[in-house]
Formats: sequence, C-alpha cells, structure tokens
Amino acid sequence: MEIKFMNIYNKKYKIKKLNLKILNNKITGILGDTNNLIANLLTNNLDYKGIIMFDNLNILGYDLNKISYIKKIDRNTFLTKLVSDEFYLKKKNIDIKDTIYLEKIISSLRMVGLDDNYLKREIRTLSKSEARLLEIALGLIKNPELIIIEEPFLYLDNKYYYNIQKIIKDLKEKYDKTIIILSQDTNLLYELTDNLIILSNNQVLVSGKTKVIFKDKEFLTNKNINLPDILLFKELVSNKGIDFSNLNTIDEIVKGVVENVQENNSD
Amino acid sequence: MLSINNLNYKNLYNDFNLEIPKNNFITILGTNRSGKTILTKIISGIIPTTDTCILDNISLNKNTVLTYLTKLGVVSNDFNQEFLFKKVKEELAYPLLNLGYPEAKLNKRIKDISKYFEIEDLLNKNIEDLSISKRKLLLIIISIIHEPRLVVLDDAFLEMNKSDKYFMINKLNNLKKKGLTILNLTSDIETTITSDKIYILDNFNLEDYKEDSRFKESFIIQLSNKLKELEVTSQTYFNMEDLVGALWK
Repeated sequence: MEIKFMNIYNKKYKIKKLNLKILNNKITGILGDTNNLIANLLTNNLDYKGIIMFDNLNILGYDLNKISYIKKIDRNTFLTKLVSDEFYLKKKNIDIKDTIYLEKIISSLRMVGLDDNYLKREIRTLSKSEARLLEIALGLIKNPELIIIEEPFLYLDNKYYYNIQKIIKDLKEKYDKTIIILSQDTNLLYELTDNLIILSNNQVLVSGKTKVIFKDKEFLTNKNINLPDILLFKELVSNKGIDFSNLNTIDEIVKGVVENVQENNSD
Repeated sequence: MLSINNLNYKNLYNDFNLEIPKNNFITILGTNRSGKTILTKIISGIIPTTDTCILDNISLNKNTVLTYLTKLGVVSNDFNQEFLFKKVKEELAYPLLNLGYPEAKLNKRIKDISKYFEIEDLLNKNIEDLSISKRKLLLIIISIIHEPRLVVLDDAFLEMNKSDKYFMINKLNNLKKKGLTILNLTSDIETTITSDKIYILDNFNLEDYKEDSRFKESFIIQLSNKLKELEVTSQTYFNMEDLVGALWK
C-alpha cells in the first residue's frame, strides 16, 4: 500500500502543508516527538484538511480494518478480563466463522511466541512483556495491509526481541505488508527501516532512505538527533586510521576487528 | 544508608536482605516479574512493612512513615505516570509546598535544581508540550527536589533517548558527592554505566552481577562480548571509547 499525504493542515497541532509519501512494502520509520500524529491521521483519529490517499483511493473510502495501529500499552489498552475475550472483541468487525477465527487467534499468538494456554489467562496477570506480545498478536489478527507499530521493543524482555524483529521483517518480505515504525530509538530505526521520516515541530524535517539520512552527521547533530551506535563506533575507529565504512552489521564489524587486530599483531 | 532486613512478602520475598551503602550508585538488574516493582513499593511504604526497612537510621513503621518519606525520593514505573499540573514549574513546586517550604526557599531550590539539570528553559512550558524523554527526565528531577538521602528509580530511564539518559545518569552520579544515594532498578544494562555495584534480581533473589543474556545489551556491550568470546579482548566494555582504546592503543 502506498500512502500519500497531500497538503495536510490541522490547526490544533499547527500542522501546515504536510506532504509526505510512505512507500508500498517497505518499513518506514518515523522519528520525532510527535510521530504519533501521523498514525492518528492515518487511523482517522485526528481532524485535518487536505487529502490522504491509499493506493490512489481517498482514505475516506478505505476500509480502516485493513490498518492496524499497535500502540504502546497503557492502562486503557485492554478492555476485557480474559485474553480470549480481547480477541473476540476484535471479531465484531470481521465476518468469519468461529472455528476459523479460533485457528487464526492461535496462530497469531504462536507467531509472537505465546501458546494457546494464554487464551484462558486473565489480562491483569500478564507481565508487561506478555501484555505487549498480546497487543502485537491482536494487531495482526485482522491480517492488515498496513501495520503501524509504536516502539516495538518497549517492555519486551530480551528473549522476545529477536522474534519480534523477525516478525517485522517477515511481514514485509513474506507477506508484502507496508509497515510504519514509530520510535525515538535511532539504533532501532537504523537497523530495521528502509525509509525514514524525521518530524520536528509537526513538520517534516527530512525524509528519504534511512541509510542516506544517517550519512549526514552534521545535520543530525545540529538537530539534536542521536546517531546510531554503529555509526559512532565506525567514526571513532576511522579516527584511528582504520576504514570500516563498508561494514554494516555487528557481525561484519566483529570480523573486521579480528582481521585488523591480527594484521597488526603480525606486523 | 538503606537496609532491608529479613523481608518476607507473600512467599515471593523470603528472608530477603539488602544493604545499600551511603553515597553509592547501586543498580539492580531484573527482567519483567523479577520483583523490582514490589521491592520499590516496599521501600517506599506503599506495601506496608514494620521495621523491615531502615533508611538513614529511621526504621520504617506506621509511626515513622512521614519522617522516613522525607528522606526518600521515588520514581515508580506505573503506566501513564501522570502529572498533576499544567506547567513544569508547578510540578516542581508541589512536593516542596507539601513539606511547607517558605516561598523564598522554594524558589531558590527550583532555581538551583533547574540550573543543575539544565531545564531552566522548560520551567514555564506546559508539560503536554514536552517530549516523552523530557517528561521522564522531569519525573526524576521531581523525585529529588526535596533533597532526599536516597532515590529509588524503578525503570525510570525507560523511553528516555540516549543523550537524556546518559546526561541524567551522570548528573545523578555527581550528586553522590552531595550526599545522595541512588538505587536504580532496571532491565537496561546501559544504565549501569556509572554504578558502584550491580546486582541481578532473579525471581526475588539477589545475586552478584554476571553476564546474562536476558538483558538487552547495547551495541557496544554486544560487540565487546563477542570480541571477548573470540579472546580479542579480556573484558566487557560498557563504553565505546574504552573499547576502541583497548583495541588500538
């Protein structure tokens, strides 16, 4: 799904002439204190003037069930007592047989790493990590085309981190979804997103390919945006006269360090 | 500074003991459900105990609770921790008004603390206009505005951006000299950077720190642990400059 914002205005949030494009089947990160404004516009939770298009269809004619907005959990996130009730609450908007829906619930839970036993659990007995996984499972049950996920790893214990990271990548690569990640964490955005939009004072400061945006160190530093650790490390290393500019993952860097240190020792 | 002696709570904490020395920055690392929040509630008297917690020679019980609490600052990790007022300055003044600070003393304290934490430009701002990271920063500042002897931080650095996080940790660490003791309960290894001692809280039991894959490691800790496994370095580095310095002298 491709999304276009065309000349969006909102008086309350002083949004003026907001134009941006979110590309189909990519992971787009949105950085900035008010990054949830974009999500609220997309889910029709904020009044605006202007046009938002989904694949050349005005958002007003679009089935909002095809969009899932997975927010940070707070005390208002869940409305029912049991995990299963929370799934059946979502079913109200979907025309589907009970038996098939149950299968869908179980596969959503398994996808995030929770088993069927959770269906009988009371929500108040879940840990924050489990509650967060439940919210992600609930967000995927409708098989949305667009998934907006806010701070995907907040409250998650480390053991779930790689699983959720893999789910996000699979949603894009295997299931052709369009994904928007709202986050303030530049390490995460650098690692996971294809494209990036940085908002400042509710206006677009810059948008484009993530790796390209993070190349402009001076610009980002001027705007008080933290550089990802991996870039800071590469810069520190380059001050020692060592070129790691082509290494892009932690494992490549480990390999680079080992080779470099061995070379030095053999000199 | 703080002693917890033979704490027993609902078969979770059994004969639990903890000693936090004066003017130290102590971190207790724990995953979800390890017992951090219950411990915070016990130390702050929200879960009542009798003569189990001793803070600055005051043993916490129903007769001493008010004096005890003047010596304690707490940031709890409830969802949506709410502010009571509209403006930053009003939030900062509130704990001091409760303690009966006269106006001049109150204003001086707000001035001094905002200067120290470099938030003077935020004082007249509306809280709803602050970023999440700055709100979290503000919660910590409010918790120590009444100059407590001990501050207990329960996942207080969560959702702070990296620069605010390191700024706050260093500022708190420097307050040790002025008599503040910090107890940081967290699941974030990055916040241990200045800690004098690190413990792990595992299923309501306290252990000394050792490498533990349950905690999300920052890039630099991950990198240095991988290099340690390959015997390129001999220790875990928490800081990028230290690791680069050790690799290329």
